[in-house]
Amino acid sequence: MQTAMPQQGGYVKPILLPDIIIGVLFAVGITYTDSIPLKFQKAADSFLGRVAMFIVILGLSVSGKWIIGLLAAIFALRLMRYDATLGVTEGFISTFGGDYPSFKLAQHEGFISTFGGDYPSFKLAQHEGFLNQNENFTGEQIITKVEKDGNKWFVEDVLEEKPKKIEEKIIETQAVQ
Amino acid sequence: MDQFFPKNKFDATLRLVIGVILIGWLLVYGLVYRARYPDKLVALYNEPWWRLLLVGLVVLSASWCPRVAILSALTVLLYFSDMDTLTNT
Repeated sequence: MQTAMPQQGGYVKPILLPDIIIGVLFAVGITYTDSIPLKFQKAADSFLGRVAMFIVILGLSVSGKWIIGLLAAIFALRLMRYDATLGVTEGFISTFGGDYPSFKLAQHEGFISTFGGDYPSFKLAQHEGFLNQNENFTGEQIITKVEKDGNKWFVEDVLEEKPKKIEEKIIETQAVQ
Repeated sequence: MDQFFPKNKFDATLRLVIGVILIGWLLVYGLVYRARYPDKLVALYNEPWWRLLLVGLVVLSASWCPRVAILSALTVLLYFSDMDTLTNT
């Protein structure tokens, strides 16, 4: 086993074989995050998972192996995408019926329902109430057709999509009185 | 940590230049939602060796300069995240 070598400016911890193995594992994990089963992603994205990952990253960074800590932080942030994956799948099914791939769905929702592409999804919730005022609250399915304006989303641009019209279904529900 | 301090003027200049480039990249691509990544970068993301190479570059930069490492890690993370959002089906 190697010992720490005194150097100018303080001690530098030597890189040991286990560190290299852990580093390689993190690097492979970062590269192939998509291949990790969803149940592990869900576990990592839970409260306990996040706390555990935080402690591990902190431990690795404080112990002097901050490069491995940095890799662990990247890996942890890549793992925390379970909620996004879930939301994307839901939106994909309910709104686009398979015509659109699932990526950037939330952004598309905001784009479609209210602003014609100028606003990302975080504006959607604020303006949905406004939208509802112009439509009915009967709990029926509402189909809204929105003419596509000239601005293309990055996704549409890369995938060379040429949408002319977008159809949206909104199912309104009401709280039990 | 010795790594925090540049060894000579050339080293200091190189760290500054790479840092500024990374900050510029983050401002143009990483932090602007609708910014379009170059098509080659979008296509390359599907290649595992490319992702592994980028992680390797982060490790290399970490062994050189912690500041550059943090910037490059953030750049790579945002790039991966954006490409994930774009290409995940």
